[in-house]
Amino acid sequence: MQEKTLQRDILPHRDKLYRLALSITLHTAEAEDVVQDTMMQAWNHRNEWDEIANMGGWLSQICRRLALDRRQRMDRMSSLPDPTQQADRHTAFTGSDITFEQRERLTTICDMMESLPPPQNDVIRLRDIEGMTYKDIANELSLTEEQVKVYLFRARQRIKTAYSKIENYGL
Amino acid sequence: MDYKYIEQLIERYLQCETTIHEERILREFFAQDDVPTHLKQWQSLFAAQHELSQAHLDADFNKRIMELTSTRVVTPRRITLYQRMRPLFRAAAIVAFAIVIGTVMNNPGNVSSESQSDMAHAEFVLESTTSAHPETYSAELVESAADSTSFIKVQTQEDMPMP
Repeated sequence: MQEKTLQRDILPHRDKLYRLALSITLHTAEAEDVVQDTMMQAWNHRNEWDEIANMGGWLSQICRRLALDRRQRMDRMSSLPDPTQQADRHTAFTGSDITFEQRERLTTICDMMESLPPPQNDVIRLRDIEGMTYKDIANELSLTEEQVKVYLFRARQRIKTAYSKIENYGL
Repeated sequence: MDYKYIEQLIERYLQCETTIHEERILREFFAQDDVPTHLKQWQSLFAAQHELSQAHLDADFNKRIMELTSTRVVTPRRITLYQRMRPLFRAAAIVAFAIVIGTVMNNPGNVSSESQSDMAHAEFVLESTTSAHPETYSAELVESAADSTSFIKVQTQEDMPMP
């Protein structure tokens, strides 16, 4: 019964949670650990599943909290002298087929999204990375569609300013 | 590709006037390598969005989670002393109730069949002693009866479960 719910209603969120964890930790292996921990925490609260109306939002909250904890731990570790203990955020996205340029711009966009105040960071992530409609975003974040549009507008204005700066420095 | 169209889309994207479909066109346009120089600065934004949206977990992730959850079906849960003792409260209440009933049945007022011979013997002794000292013994008997019932009352209240 609960195994079925896990497979039907919880595991399908895995890749979305992974991208959220990735944009916070900037590290593929750490992000995977975070999603696994998120799933295990969700499983440990399985007696409350019936009361959760918005599973995606609930899982994202758990995942964000765990990812932020993980990032803090990584920052502490990277200040240690022993390099074998390091899981440095800026050796991030350690996939095999990724160029230096790709890594740079992924780091830039993740840092930019996460530097936005909540819920702007969630709104722009759900729109620009997950490609969700205003209606679905409103449901997931318990906002109205109008609020979603306002937050998205503010977020994109910030991005516009940030990328104009990149343009000016770049030229 | 008409760059005027892309420029317009970027402008409308920043004003939040683009549809999901138009935003996808932007990402796919910037995912290619040959982007004109005057649009290069936007490539880092839309190409990064595209790359991040492609990130995903391995196929065997689900299997791993299912294995982990099946081995942890019995999760350790903290049980307070009160929760642990809870079934005993009911038993204690029943025992206390039985004692009350038993005492009432054994009261000299209502003689039960089992203790009838005992009672008959006791009555005989009582009668022989009370007839010798009528005032002393009748008073003592009433007093002890009152004591035993009040003792039982205190006992049952102590055994009641906490609210």
